[in-house]
Amino acid sequence: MNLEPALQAFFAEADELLTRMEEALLGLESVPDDRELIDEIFRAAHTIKGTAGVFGFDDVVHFTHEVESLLDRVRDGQIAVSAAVIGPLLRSKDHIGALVRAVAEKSELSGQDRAEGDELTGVLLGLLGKAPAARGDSLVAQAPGVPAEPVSDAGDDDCAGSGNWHLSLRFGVDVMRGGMDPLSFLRYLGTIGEIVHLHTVADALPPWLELDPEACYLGFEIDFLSDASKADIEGVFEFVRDDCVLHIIPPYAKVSAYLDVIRALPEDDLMIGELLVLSGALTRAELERGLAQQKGGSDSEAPAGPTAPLGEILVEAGAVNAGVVDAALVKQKQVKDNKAQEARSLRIDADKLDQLIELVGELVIASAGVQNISQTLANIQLSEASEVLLRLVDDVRDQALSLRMVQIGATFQRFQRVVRDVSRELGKDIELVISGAETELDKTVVERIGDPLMHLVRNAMDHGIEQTEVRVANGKPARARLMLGAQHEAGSIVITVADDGGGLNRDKILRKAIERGLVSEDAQLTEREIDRLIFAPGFSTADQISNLSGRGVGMDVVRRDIEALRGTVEIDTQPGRGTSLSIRLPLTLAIIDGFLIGVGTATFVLPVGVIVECVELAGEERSAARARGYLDMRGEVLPLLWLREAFDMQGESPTRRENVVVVQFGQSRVGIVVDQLMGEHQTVIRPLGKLFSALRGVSGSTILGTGEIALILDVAGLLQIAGRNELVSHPATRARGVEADERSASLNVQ
Amino acid sequence: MAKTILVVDDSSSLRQVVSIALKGAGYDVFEAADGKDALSKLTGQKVHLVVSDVNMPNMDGITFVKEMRKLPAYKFTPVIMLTTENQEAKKAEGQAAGAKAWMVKPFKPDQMLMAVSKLCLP
Amino acid sequence: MNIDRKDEAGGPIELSVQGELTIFGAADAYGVLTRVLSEKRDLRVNLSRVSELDSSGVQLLLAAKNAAQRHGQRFELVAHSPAVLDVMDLLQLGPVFGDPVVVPA
Repeated sequence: MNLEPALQAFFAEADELLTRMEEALLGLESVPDDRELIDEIFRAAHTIKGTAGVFGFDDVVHFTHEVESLLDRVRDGQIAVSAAVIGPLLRSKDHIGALVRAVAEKSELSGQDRAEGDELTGVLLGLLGKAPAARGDSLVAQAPGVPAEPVSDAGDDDCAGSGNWHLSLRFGVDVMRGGMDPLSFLRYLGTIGEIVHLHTVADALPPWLELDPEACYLGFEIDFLSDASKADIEGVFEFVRDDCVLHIIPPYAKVSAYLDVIRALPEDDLMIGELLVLSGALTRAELERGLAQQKGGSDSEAPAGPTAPLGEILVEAGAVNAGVVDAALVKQKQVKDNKAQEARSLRIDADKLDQLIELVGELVIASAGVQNISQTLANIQLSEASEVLLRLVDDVRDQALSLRMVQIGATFQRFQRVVRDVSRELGKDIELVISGAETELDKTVVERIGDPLMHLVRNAMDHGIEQTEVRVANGKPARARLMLGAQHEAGSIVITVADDGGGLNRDKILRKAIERGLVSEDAQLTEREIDRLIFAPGFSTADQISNLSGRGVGMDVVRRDIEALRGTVEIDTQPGRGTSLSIRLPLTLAIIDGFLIGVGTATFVLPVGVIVECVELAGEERSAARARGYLDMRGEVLPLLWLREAFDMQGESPTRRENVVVVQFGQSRVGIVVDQLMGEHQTVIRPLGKLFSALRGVSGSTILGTGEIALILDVAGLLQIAGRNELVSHPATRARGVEADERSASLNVQ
Repeated sequence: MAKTILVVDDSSSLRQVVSIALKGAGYDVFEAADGKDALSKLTGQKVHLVVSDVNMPNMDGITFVKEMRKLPAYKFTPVIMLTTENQEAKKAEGQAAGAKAWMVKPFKPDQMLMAVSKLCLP
Repeated sequence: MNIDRKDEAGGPIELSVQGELTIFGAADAYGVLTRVLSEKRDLRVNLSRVSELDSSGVQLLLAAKNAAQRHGQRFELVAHSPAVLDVMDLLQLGPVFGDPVVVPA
């Protein structure tokens, strides 16, 4: 957040306000009871104080506060305007000016000014009739008191072992009329922790005809999982404190353990109370209430009696527990560490970041241009200089891209709740296991992977994981596991959604596929091909349409979503053991390390990360490969794809030799046959227009250093084209449905 | 769609700080220098939240909220009033006028952001 | 906010809420619902065009459902818009209303 312009505005504004303040003070000398002048002077001091505080200029705030207090009294008529008041106020105005100048120039106050400030403070306090005293500014108005009686049916037993906070909330009738929507607080609550369970209490709703539609009748019982302190949780509701009944029960509420700790401590109870406030186990409001109860014990209902230690009173009031004490101290430290971390980070407008990335992209293109020229000129000094430039641009690119990287953990965490709710709904016992939450990937990818992931997770719970009885009958643990994981792998990120359920039922899939006309009855499909049928459009095996998945939106949509992100999805399933879906995604969508290849006069780009090796194709081997459609690579069959033919390009292939670029994506490999290999190239990806969105095999375009346009090859798409060639060459394994789908969206294949 | 917030304060630098903080968090922000200015800018468009100073020339914050509440489009718009600590009487008056949320000046931009998020997330 | 009404012969009255179902239009919505409820017929509320839902909207729907059921009429919510689903999810109201909710995948 760049506050510099605002800061400059503040200095200018303070200057202006002080000038007006002086004029008004001088005017007041001749007309002592001019209300408007008094108001204006007050406002000037008030504004300077308020704004200085926002910038953290505490010296200005403290001094101006006293001036403001005096002016407040003058305004109320408690102190009469006289030379005895105007004199010090004029001097104060000068001193505020000196304080503001000091911060503007980032200099220390001179000794003389400091002495003047001390003296003036004394004079002002004297006029106010009080001795110098410390005063604390507080943002959050102290809570007037939390109801001490525990809310009935609050489910204390659940909380005892659960680690969740329990919040019991009842909103006042006028909350909504005042513009406060209870929902907004709940939404905010969701940002400082996880609402594990929420029960909307609508018992207070009157019969229809007695209903006031603008009154609020709602209450909520909330189980809340969070590292936030109790004060933070109370703070969520600060704006409705006077208009709601809030009761907070901390996690692991075990009273006896708490008492043991209190008794073991030698310090007096007040100190312990303060300690608890500091550690976040107890809020100041509760401490004060506890203290009041301790003092007025004889006529209060405190069961522990008038001399009971504060701790016991608090425990009896259900306000605090021991588990929290230790945990809170540890947590406090973590919070501090986090704060220190936060202080080192800046919040940046996402648009600005995108602009930066775009500029870096242009820079990459421009520097490639420079390199091109320097190669043509063959000037050693220029070449060296351009190498250095290139390396720096590389670093700048990496740094800029890393700014967009975010951890996937937050996305994964959302599924805790989904799994919990859905498993309950399905009557299955499912545990979500998350790994690799710290794995980073591009923000855009993170944002767009949510929906496909949601579908896969729901699908796994709905179809993948068996009913509990079935699991038990099969000797598996009753509690099923759903694994969400992420990891980096060779320039890609692999996100895995795995379950330990029954695995895909291949017979059923094949039967359904035949039924739907997706494959012919006599098709001989490999297991992998059968598994992949679930990604065919219009495929669903759900016997019953549940309200979760199997609602017509099939896995083909998931596949398409993922492919739109230049990713692929792989299935690995073992009958009776479970299914694992791996989504492989590029780390970023903006720039790739490309490898240039040429066919005729056209240039294409392949992402370097997918290239395994390059081999020459000439002589006999070439004619043999041509005839068979594959290459014998050290005893392995490598299907070949002639790019010229795949893209139906004009021109003859070179007479002497061709080159094969071996690419790998996921578990598949294919050799792409091209005319020339032209070396690596930093590639800034420009998306293709809508017109080309159906084009398979091409994911975008880029501008070369020479100004020419090159198409970026989509390896996943190419693999599918190559894969189909294979199927075409073996008619027995033809899978009609998958093929038809792909043909409609792809280029002609010879 | 971004949420829209109106910031009313006679200090242009304070408005700027608040604006920068809120825009950075993804809100749309428009500003007014005092109550009168603010009313003239409320022309029926959707405003999710108003942040207003109490003490301003021309029209103070409390009068502004009273007037704003007379406009159907802003009858229930949440308001955060900015105040200094010794204005308890004002606070009571303001609450009666329909300004329920109060925030004590001075505050850090992050505190402002937090307060705003409680009433409307970006 | 706008509430359209459609009568199906022999079927329920279908109300279609358009725009924000919030405190700003709560009094109007209450008026419309009061009239419709007084007809003592089955009700279907189409929420597909609800752009925003707040607490007042939620409790209005809850109260209307209570009122309809007290008189033995059906009260169903259909075609929840994303804004409605968001609130239903936050308040975990699915089971309370008991209507099938179609979650866009």
